[in-house]
Amino acid sequence: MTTVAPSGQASATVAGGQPLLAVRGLVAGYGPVTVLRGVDLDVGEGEVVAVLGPNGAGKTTLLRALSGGCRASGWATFAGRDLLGLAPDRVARLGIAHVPEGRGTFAELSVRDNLRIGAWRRRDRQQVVRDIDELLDRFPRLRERLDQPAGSLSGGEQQMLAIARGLVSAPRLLLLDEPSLGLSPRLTAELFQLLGELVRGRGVTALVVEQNARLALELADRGYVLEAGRVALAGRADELARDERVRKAYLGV
Amino acid sequence: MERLAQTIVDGIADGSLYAALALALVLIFRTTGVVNFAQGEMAMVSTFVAWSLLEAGLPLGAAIAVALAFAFVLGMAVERIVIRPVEGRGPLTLAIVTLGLYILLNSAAGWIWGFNNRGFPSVFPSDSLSVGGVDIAVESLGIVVVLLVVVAALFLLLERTRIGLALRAVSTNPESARLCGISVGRTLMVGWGLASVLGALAGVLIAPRIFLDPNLMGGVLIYAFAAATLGGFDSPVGAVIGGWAIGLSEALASTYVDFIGSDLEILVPLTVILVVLLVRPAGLFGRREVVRA
Repeated sequence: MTTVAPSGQASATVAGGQPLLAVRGLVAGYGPVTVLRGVDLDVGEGEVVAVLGPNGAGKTTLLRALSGGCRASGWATFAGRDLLGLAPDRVARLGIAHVPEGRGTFAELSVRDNLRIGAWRRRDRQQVVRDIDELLDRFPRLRERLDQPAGSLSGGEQQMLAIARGLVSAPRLLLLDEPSLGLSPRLTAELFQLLGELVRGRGVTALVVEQNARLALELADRGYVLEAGRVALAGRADELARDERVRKAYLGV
Repeated sequence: MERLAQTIVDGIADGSLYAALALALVLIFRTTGVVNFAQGEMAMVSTFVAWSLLEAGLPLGAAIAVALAFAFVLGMAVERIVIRPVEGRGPLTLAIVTLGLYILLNSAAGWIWGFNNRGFPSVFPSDSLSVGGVDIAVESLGIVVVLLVVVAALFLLLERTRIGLALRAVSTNPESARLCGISVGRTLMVGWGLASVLGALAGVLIAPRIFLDPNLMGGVLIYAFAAATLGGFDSPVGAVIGGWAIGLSEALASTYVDFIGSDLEILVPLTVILVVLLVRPAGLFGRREVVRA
């Protein structure tokens, strides 16, 4: 079905037919600076896809291009709809939850309010209350700090809050930007374990940009390696983890 | 003794009016970071709309209600048409834009309604109540009650409603608010609409006490600025406390300090602004730390 292939080939034919997210020839950047130079990518319903690569490769730009946060051209569809050119709030209301690099916490508002805002696009009040309750069971530290201003939380707690905020919107696609950023190795391991339960365990479709290649490939079904604005490698996560080039460059082997 | 009590009540009543306009300033500053120099003129225009409706035969309550609705629409329109195009351009540009709007609205009101003084009826009866041996005007009490009700309503709106949550989200982190699906533009329009209604309320309460003309709110704006500066430009509580403090100190100064008669009254708020900015720019309750989101 898929092979570890050099650039030019999206990990095509996702099992089960049409991918939820399909991207072809994505070119994106900021003002006069072009960062992505033609990216092809697919994410199938229920898959977790990792995006790896060095700094400056365009990983964050990829997520921003999808959620309407920078200029983008090319072709990208989400559940059959054209995605490029939509304003960020439109994209969010379609069910794409982008948890940005740096968490995007509403620092002055309480943890509780942060979660309520996360659920903004949902109209089913009762279920939202139940979902928040359930998420707080998984993130007990957040429950302890429910009424404290979110800015007073530690880095790890803010990351958990950001992920909870993304999940509480009941997204059809979760875009996670560098969840491990600024976290200690122990916290990162804890976080990825939670992600495993909350994302994989519940079949949430996710595109995860991550510097920590090992953890990302353990979590994901498939992966792409971005280098200098293009897809350098693509394939199943376990195959990428065994690939020599990946091991040398990103797994420190 | 009686004179002191009267002065205090007058001071708090006037202070409540400054507080109402200051609340409008704070609401806009908090959600958009804009200092709206035209807040008073927007209120004045809305008050004139009420006046025109009165002239057309509407009862006072209805005229004020329609004028408040007009104020809401005016606020939304100003955000969408005047402010949105210059949104990210920096405080200096925005200050000039709102100052220009001030001049525009003032001249437009003069052109439409003329610069003559006219009267405006009060919603309150002109009686006095005797409280502990002191005569207190019903109007003064009424104004304070209205302010407290407005503050309570604003609090409930911000804390308990969906739009209030959106307003708070947008004022803290508009980028993240967008990523959660909130339409920042629409939310800002509502914020400006609400602030405009607050200003208009101040206008219809102030007009009966002085004459209604296009310069109705010019002086009041300075007091409102002093109140907001003293209280902290991003604190609604500060706006109210600041308003009362300014109103009180002005009333006490003009009654008890000999050389400050009605001409030099304006010294009080101006001095307060100067001192606060020199000594504690964030005001009593303000808290403007720029946090890298």
